[in-house]
Amino acid sequence: MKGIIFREFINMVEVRFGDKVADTIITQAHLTNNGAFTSVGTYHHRDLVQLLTQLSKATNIAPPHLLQEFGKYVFQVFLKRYPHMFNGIKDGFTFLSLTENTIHTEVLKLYPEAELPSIDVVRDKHALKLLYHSRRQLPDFAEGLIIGCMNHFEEAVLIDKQMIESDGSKVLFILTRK
Amino acid sequence: MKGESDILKRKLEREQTAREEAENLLKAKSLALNESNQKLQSLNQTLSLLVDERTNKLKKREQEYKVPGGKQN
Repeated sequence: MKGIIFREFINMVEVRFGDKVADTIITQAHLTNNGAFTSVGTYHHRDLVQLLTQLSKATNIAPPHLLQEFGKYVFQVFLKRYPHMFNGIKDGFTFLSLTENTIHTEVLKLYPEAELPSIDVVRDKHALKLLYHSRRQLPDFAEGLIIGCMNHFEEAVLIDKQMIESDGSKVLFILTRK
Repeated sequence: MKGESDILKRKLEREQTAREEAENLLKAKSLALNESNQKLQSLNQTLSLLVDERTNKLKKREQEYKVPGGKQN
């Protein structure tokens, strides 16, 4: 899993819960590198699970909720870091439809070893069906990104989430404009 | 405030380790880039030599066909 995710997770913890909580969860998580992540590195997925578990313990907030918040946070990071990706895009459905072919293609140019989720999109006038497929099983994180995206474009949507696989490796999101 | 300075100390240590790791990665990527550039350059040279050689051969052939009584094989 790419380092940017770990960096931003720790950044979010520092911003939302403070340096002390960040220090506690990093220490408690017994990470392979003691928490010294660089955004250009690649680390084990397990380390994120450990951090998440510890954050949930420290804050009494359930992991799925934390992951969703993290997704929203990361969308803001993407917005700041990659503003050119948003050039000329006027609505959230268009942006989400570009994830697989444009964004993930760019990511793979930079990080050929990245293991990305696949996002299949079917779109009609009022709804967007988004099939998330990843062995990382982070649909709550994906949902946070989707919410962050729709908030950014100031669009109100209903999100219906259907577990296709109960382990969260395959989830269908149906977004309908309100 | 012992606790707070400890927290900052550990944070600094993490940042330093991360920076070193990023620098090492950059070094490795630079080396790899340099290497593949050199490979491309030498490949390019080989190719242009090959092109020259084939062009000359073709020209020679052309001449042979133009000259009456030239070899026709």
